Amino acid sequence: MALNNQSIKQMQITETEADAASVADIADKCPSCGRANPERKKRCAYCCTLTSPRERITVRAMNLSTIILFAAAIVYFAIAVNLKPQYTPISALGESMNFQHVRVLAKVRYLSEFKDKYEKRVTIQLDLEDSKDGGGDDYEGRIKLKAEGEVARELKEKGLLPARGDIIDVSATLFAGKGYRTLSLGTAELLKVVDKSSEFAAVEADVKALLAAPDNFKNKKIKIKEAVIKSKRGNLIIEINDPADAAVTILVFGVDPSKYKEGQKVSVSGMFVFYERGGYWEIKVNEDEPESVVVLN
Amino acid sequence: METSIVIYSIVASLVGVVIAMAASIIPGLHIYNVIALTMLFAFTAADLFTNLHPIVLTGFMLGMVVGFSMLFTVSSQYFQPNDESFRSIMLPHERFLLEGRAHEAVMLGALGSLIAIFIITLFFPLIPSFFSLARAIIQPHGYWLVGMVMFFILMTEWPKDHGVGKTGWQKFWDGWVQLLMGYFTFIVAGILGMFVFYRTIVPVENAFQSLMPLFVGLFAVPSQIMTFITRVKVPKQHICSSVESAPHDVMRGSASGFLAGMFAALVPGMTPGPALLCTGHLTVTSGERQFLIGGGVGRVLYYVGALMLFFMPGVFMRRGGAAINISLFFVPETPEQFFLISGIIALTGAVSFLLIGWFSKLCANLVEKIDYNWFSAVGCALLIVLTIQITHWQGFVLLCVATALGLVPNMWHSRRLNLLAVLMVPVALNMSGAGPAVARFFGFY
Repeated sequence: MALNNQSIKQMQITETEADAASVADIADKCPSCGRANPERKKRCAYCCTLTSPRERITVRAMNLSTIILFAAAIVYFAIAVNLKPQYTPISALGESMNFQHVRVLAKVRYLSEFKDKYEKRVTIQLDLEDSKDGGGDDYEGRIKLKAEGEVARELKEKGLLPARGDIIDVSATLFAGKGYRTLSLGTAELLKVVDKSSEFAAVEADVKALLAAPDNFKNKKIKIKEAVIKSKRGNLIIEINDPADAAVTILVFGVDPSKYKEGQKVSVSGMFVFYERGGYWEIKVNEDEPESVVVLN
Repeated sequence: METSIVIYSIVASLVGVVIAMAASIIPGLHIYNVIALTMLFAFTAADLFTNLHPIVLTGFMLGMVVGFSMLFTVSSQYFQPNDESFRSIMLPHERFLLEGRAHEAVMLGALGSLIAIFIITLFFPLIPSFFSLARAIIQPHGYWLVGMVMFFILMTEWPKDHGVGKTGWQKFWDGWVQLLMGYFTFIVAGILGMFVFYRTIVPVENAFQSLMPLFVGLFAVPSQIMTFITRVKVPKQHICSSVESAPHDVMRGSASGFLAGMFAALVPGMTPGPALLCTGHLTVTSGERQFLIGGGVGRVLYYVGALMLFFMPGVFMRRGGAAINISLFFVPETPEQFFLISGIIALTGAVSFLLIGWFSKLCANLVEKIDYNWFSAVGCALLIVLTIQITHWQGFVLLCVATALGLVPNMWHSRRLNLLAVLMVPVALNMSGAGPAVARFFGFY
């Protein structure tokens, strides 16, 4: 019993010492309202806040804790820069993923542009195939990507349009149902060309050189830097000649002749092919592609 | 993602924080109003933004939202005092101001905001599937959840200044007038909300800001008017270097704020005010410090947390004015964008927090040197001009009606929370499917 009393006394002494120590920590001004606290009371007589530093959090400690946030920000930025994109194979895009945003790495097979029936809204459509395996003739490995209205306009104006054969990285919304699958591009910036195609790169030549050694250019994309329109034929053909020699001519198929005048200087880009039924060489152009026929003068 | 885009976005977000701080000095001016103005500018001067990646503009807006959600309470703390007649309904931050402890109140709220930024940036990215699940669970039940909150608000309206009249009837009237005015405010605000949802008079090209004149009229302008007409001597403010906050205050306040913020972020039509009322009861929150910390947590979770869910892969939830405005020009799609957004929130949250102390000292100095009524007058004028600029004269008409209604709780000391019926009633009715029928009953549809 005596021992117990002794230990209780000891505890009381310890508590009193602790109180004295904590009172010593208390400032003579209330840390909350700034009013005087000459008796260094634990609670301010004016605003009732606890004045002991042990009951308070310092602003400095709070400020220091923001270091964690700065560190987190750096880590997140590093992830954003270095994160490798998660691509979904085109063949995996199915009905179950309808309305999902997907990211695809694909090769552009074909590119076309058309307007709606009121001729107001432009739509650019890209036929895509899986970049790795190639789509081949397999429906599962191919998909159409549509960019409509403002997005299509932005793609053209900002020069973001890919060419045939380019490998593109695109994030778009999938619309998939029974018998159809389409990707819809929401923002022009979400389409990026990651690899320019050499397969469809144009070979520069003039009319004379083409006709002198046609087999060298057969079935290749060629670009004639300068030629003169000699005549217009039907609804889809113009005849061009070499600027140095009017007798050397070649036909350009796939153009609307009404847009051009005879004698105009033009540059032409298209496929150099042999037209077997007619038995002559011609340049096949696609007017939807930029710079297919450009008037120079 | 290209490093240049990340750098541009960081710079843009920091500019956003600075603009948010400048806007925060005007009490009553909401960042959504500034965002609306930015959007109008972006639409009219679209050519200027042609070469700007949309995520850079998104970063700018995110910076504004984070900065504003943390900083706007500072000016409200210092420049919107109420006199003694408001003692019975005085919120803690007003009491702190009159005791010379506004800076402590600001820092307690800031502590809550900091906790919320920690939760959002360090915890949210780990649990995207939780949000998808929570949304799937809550979506079909939203209408009755909001309905129950409305019921709770009405049920907990109580007489505050009873018994001051001389006769029995006067005492009876004094006891009931606040209750009746509370219910009156709730009903009329609900009808006004239905009108704007179904037959807004704001011109169609600015209809995305239809709610702006209502919120400015119901909350901001009446506060400015009341501040202007009540003459209060604001005492010298003490700049403290520490705040009283026991661990249980932080825990309980954070729990209440977290639940309120999440509730408001996930349930359409809900805002942190009514949500805090409910979760405060749920977590048995008591005391001014817990209230202030909880308010800070709830507010930032609602503004910033809900916006972050818009960018979260697999969630893409569009809640709140900022997300709606951003969705007009940007579609979040990739995980890199989400990490960039998370980084921007962490960075701007930390910067905003460091600015709070400085901004609070600035406001404490200003309130001593300049009559706070000037801030009220400037704020009031700016809000009216902004509303007319964005929503034309039709918006001004709505603003006047809303202001008249917004003054009722101030005049009769009923709860201002009742005014939120302007949002909760139409949203709850629309979610339940009864909206068109009710609108037809009032001739709005």
